[in-house]
Amino acid sequence: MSDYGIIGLLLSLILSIISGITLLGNRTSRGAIWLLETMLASLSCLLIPILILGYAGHLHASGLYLIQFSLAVVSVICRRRKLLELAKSTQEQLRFFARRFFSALRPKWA
Amino acid sequence: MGLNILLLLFFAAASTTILLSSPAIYDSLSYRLPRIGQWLQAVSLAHFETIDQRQNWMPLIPDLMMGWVTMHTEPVFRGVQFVQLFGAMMGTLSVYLIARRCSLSPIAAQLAALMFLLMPNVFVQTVSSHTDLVAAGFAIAGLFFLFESFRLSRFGLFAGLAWALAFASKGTLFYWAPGLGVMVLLLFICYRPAATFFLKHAVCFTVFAAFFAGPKHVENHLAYGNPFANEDLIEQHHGQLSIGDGAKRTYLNALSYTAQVFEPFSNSPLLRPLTTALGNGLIQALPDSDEFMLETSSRRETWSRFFQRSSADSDGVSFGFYATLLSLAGAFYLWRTGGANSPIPRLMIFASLLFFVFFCFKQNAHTYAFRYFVLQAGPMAIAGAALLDLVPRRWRGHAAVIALLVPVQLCASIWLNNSQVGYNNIAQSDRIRNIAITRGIAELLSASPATKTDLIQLRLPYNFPRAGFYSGGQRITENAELDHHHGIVLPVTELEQEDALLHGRSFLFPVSQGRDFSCAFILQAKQDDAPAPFIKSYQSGLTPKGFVEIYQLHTNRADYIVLNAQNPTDSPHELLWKSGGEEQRYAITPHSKLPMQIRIGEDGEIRLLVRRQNGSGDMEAPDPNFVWHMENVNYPVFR
Repeated sequence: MSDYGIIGLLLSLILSIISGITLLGNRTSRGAIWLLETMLASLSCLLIPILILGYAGHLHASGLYLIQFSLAVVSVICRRRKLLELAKSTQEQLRFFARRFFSALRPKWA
Repeated sequence: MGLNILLLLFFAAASTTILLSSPAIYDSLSYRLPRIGQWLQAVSLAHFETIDQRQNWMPLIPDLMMGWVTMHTEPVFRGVQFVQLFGAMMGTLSVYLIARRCSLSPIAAQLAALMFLLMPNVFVQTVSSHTDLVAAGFAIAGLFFLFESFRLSRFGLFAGLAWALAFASKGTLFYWAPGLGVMVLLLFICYRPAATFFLKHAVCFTVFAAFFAGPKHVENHLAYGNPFANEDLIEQHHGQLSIGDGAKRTYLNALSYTAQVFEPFSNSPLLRPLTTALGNGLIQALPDSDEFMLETSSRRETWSRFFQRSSADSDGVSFGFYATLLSLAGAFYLWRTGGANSPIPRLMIFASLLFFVFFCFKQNAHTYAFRYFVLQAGPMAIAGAALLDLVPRRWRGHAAVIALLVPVQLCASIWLNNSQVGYNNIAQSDRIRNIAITRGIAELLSASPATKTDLIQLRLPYNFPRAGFYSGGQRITENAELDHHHGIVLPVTELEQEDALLHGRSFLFPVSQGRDFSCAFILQAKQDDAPAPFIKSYQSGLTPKGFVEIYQLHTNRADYIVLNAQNPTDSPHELLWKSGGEEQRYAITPHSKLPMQIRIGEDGEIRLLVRRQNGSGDMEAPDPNFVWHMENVNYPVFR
């Protein structure tokens, strides 16, 4: 795979994840549900431009990025408050998991 | 924590396996990956001209995901199996979450997630280029979000989305429809939500399904008069039968699939003598012939032959006896006790059972149905893991590890002994038939005069593993009416029908026998081209008389071939040829060259016998440095 190919895949993935996370539902549950929702939402945001371009007969990488970028921008603008909430709760979750992880690593006698 | 680390290790090992291996599943090489190649080439998802209509009517979501993985590079299709692993991840998360909603303890829920991944038919698919596990991942996620919506009496966008993606991923979701319908109805009776709750979910599912699956169904309807597939295929899979026949088919199919649970490679090597004997006992109860088979073959013989395979088959490995036994026992336990606080366990078990019965009722039987049954694997794993909660709390960790010993050993054995995925795909890929065909085809195109901008027309039969044609960057079409192509690929057996003088290369597979996959790249020869025969088949071997070669030629309007023998050794050699009823013997002295002209007979067969004269005057195998070569022949890309 060429370098451009890898960059393309990553860009596509990042844009889909940004719009996917932003468009997530109102659920604030931790861990597994959040991850499952993120996977489904991001995948949808990846597939929607591919389907639109594919059935329009213009399945080019540039068109795909353009739609994905627009989708990401629109979803961030529309759900900016939600995004901030998510960022805050993700930060809390990361802190929570890090604490658990390091406390599990710490020897019992320490 | 310990089981979570096992999960992480599993996904890391699966990712490494995928990175190091090539797609080798026959179905994906025949119609899934080629359709991706066509989409990327045509920059369109519309139906296209092909002899293998599966490339057109199949649901497209998993293939689109695979297409995305390969769309930024020439489609060499490496890494497309990650899409299945993505499905496995969704399935694992959903199994864990549903298990928790079924009141299983956290460790039992983790065990359920691992048992799901380590069921033989699921395990094989985590690193294969099938698409069933993607559909299963969506379906199990759909189940979770559906339960969650009812439990919280709250509209859940993801229930509709996941089920829409599942139905847009695989036709086999059709068999989940009755179970899902009954389950939703019972959930309504149990939870009594408001009418708007139903309306919102119905609209959500319809909108997503219309977007993800709708266009394909409309296209199918316009092309075949049926939204799912062409009528012949539906007839072949479902047949037309009365209720009485349906009951008989359900019984026979259920019995056949139960026998397949005992298939040797789906069971731990430790239990194999027992399970194989049990399976063979069930096979003996199958009828010799009936009209409910997908292919017109004897049911008993089909399953009997399947039991005699020398390696695990990715399409045919089943749940295995261990997982099935645990699941049945767990389902019984959950049915008795798990429904006290929530109807979810009972509904899940009921819907899963209904899926199996409906599948047996509707589908004609075949040994590769177990890959569709990954749709059932989630509920089975949850039921099996529920038994862990019977163990006292402090022993649960140890019991979980013991429960996983058999699946881990079994999956390791499958990884090592599978003929399509796993160790053999990484370390001995050239010995895997499907990979050898794909690579041979790629070599054929790179050895042909076709450039990257040329259009190549395929005239290959239905179910031919075409994926290799999309690896070289040339444009491929199956539209036989196009006349501006730059070359045609056809089965090597059909070269005879070509009347014109031809130029090109062929790919022979395998070298020594059968020609099912041998094909030739041909183009019209130019005026100044000399006629050169094509080799259609080739056999060779060492016999007591010497080294024998048998060529079968398409003469391509040539009358003779020129054979050059070169003897750089110190021993005298002898070369005999037979062709068209003629026979000649030549002695080639040490350090000499000899050109021979061999007339090609009507049957196109040329036999050569090459041997060396040793010091005592006896004949033996030729020296490796003694070489012979046909001068005016379109040599194939041998495998």
